[in-house]
Amino acid sequence: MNYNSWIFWILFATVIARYWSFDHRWQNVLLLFASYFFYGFWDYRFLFLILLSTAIDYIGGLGVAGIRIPRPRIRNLAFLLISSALLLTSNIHYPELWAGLTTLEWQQISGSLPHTLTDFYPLAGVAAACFLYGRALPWLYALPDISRRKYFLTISMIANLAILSFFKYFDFFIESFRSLVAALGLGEPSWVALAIILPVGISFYTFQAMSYTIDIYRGHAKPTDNFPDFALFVCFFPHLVAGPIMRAHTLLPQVVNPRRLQSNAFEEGLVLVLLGLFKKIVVADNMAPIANAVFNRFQHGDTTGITGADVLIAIYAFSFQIYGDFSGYSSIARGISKWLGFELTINFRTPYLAVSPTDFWRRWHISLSTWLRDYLYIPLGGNRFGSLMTYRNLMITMLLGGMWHGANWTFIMWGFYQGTLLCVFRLLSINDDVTQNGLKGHAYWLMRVVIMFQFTCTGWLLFRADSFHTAWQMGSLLLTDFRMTPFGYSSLAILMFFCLLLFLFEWLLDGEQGLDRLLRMKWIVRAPAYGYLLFMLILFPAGQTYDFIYFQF
Amino acid sequence: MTLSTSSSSGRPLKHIALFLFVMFVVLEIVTRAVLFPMSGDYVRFATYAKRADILVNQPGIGIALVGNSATEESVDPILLKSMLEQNVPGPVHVDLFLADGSEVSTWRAIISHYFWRRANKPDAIVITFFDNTLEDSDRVEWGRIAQFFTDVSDWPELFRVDLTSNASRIEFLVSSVWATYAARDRIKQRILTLAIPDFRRYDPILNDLNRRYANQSNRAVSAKQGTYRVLSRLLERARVEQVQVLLVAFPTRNSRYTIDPKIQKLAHLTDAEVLDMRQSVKLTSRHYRDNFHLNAEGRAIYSEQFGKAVSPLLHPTTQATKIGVTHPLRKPGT
Repeated sequence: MNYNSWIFWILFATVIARYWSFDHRWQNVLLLFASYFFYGFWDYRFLFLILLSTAIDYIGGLGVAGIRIPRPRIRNLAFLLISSALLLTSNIHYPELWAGLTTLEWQQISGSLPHTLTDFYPLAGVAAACFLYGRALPWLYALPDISRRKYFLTISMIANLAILSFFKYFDFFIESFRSLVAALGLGEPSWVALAIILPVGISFYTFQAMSYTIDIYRGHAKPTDNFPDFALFVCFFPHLVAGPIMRAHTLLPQVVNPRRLQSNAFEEGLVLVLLGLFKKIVVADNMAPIANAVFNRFQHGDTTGITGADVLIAIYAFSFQIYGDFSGYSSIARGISKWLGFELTINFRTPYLAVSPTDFWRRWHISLSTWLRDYLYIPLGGNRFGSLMTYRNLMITMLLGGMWHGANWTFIMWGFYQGTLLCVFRLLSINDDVTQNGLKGHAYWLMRVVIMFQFTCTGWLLFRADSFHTAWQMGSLLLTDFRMTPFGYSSLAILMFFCLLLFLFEWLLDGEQGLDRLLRMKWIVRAPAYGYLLFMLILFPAGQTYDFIYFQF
Repeated sequence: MTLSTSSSSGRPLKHIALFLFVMFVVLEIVTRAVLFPMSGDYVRFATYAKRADILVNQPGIGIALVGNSATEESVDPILLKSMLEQNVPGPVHVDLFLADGSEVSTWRAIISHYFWRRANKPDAIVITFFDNTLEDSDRVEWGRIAQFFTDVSDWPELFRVDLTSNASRIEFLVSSVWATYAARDRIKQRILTLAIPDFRRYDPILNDLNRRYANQSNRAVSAKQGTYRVLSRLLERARVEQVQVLLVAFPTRNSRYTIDPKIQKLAHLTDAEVLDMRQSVKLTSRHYRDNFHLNAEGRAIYSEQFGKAVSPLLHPTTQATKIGVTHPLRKPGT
């Protein structure tokens, strides 16, 4: 269920229709159910993972803050986890079970129930973990303050990273290990990848849950002892699967405290949703076929007739595809959150107008870059211990940032490239502060923007290519055979047709930061702008809808 | 709490809502009054009912060719008619019932709307397919089907059988009442043709590339999971109506597609025929305009060889005796 599907909007309408007539507590209950339904729509089994992550950080956060959870509540939590493990992970075939129950076919009912020992492995594991952690809690609570805080934080971090590593990176490391052993001529290892399905948005909600415990540890946030409220903080559906990654001190108070609908929330939300849908459906989905046509040809070894110009235009198309896709999702998430009385942070601020890599990361996926800065770069030492350590910290942060995006060497290489760019700009002391005074100032700024955009696009080549070989082939062609083809001209014209007005619109408004400026304009100016967005949304969707790229992360 | 109708600066949103409403009403009027008559496809659809009536009520063999633009650009009906008349005694009438970029769901809707619903029984319906165009898919242009190939009497069956997802149901309903929405693909094509240099040539190339690699990626999956519910209903209904159906595998330029054995099996069960023209026509890449469309030379070659290949497969039906024409190929007493 995506934001660009009818079914999502029908479900959202049913939620919002009743939402504001409820009091705050019931609003939270409604949102919690809606969020679990939203997530379960992809694969209900992974609801258990969210519940597990929620329980770990709920106990961890309170433990760090020195708040004991009463025994009955611990029992309830254990019961919730064990029963959800039974219902969600033990291989019950619900459609068959339902069909069997409605027709009273006992054979069908028994066939739909778990019947092998392996079906109960997750349940047994969860029951054992609940038992052990339940036994350990009194001992942990009795520890001195400093030790207790560290223990709870460590348990929370290890558990979250273990879940993330298993589901996201296990197969990748196994495959990489097998390739390495085979390349060294040491035979064929018997280890096999498990073909693990990647839970949608796991990196987003895991990072958010981790930041909650860390922020409490640092004294930047206060925990909540209300489990449903905390569960809603973790799984709030507008941003659950593709961000922005919210911090506890920003989102949790909005969950815990009663909310009010601001007088201008309706129009603000509407503009954000329209803009987000426009970026996704009109820009990203129309750029996808251009990028895919060229990248797929290289991937399949069919490169006859392709020139460097075609490659460059395909990379430009992908750069607007990924921007429209991801920033579109963030805009829609912010828009529908406004209708629900929530305020999510701005995740993008015209990133392609950046003048340096540092500036780019202040504008692109802001919630991730600030997360990496606050929880990785600064704890590593940031720029406090001399140039060499700063470069080391930048490289580690960007490598892990690249790896956050996915289990593939191309993402790691992309992270390495971004880290190198940051280091080189720092080494050359290239200033971010580009004043736009006078014609000369504007020209210099424009030159910096154009150059930085080329650097960014080089990174997207690594990000989009399926392998180094493809990226190398495309990059080589780009430098050796730059002829414009009829295909290239038409692709470029399509790119400009769909992206130019958006680019100008965002430039003039400074992205979503300048939304107020638009809303303060006369209606005769706003109405044609909304009309254009609607017109394009209705008449210019791509022939095929594509999933949001960042769902896979 | 109710939603505010005022913006932050106190200017009423109702002015904006009214502006947007008027804008879309004007657009709807322009679509119906100006754009529809400009579309070759839509103008052609308006003639299908009459042409279907004429085709089946003329003496001789009436053959309806159903397909998409590949059929339109590969079959010359006049040449085909003359080829058939050389091999089959008596007059032959051939007419095209096509929709650009269509697949089996649209073909079934066309046949149902212009033939079965109007009690029109041609002697044969020839459906040209390639790749997975006979397979059930979600690439159905519901807007066109809603506006042209169905009416309210079709809705019960459509909602029961064809419209399997909520998204398709909503798209169909909206398209039924909102012509601009239904025709959005055509309007998009027209605007892009005006705005983008060489768009007419570029668009099929881009679509071919994307389709080719999507097919390659999904080949293993689709080979296992391809279903033919729509085709099955089409063939079953034709069998009940005693109308012969020929499924013709079209020779495309680059795609080396295979014919799913399920198609052969379905055809066998419903007395339909599968005619494999992929290898039997001497076409080279110079006869193609793109991957699926032939040029004039290719069209002449294909029409001639198609005519030769299809003649022996034509079965007699009850139609000729109904209108009092005895055809040598028809079985006595039918």
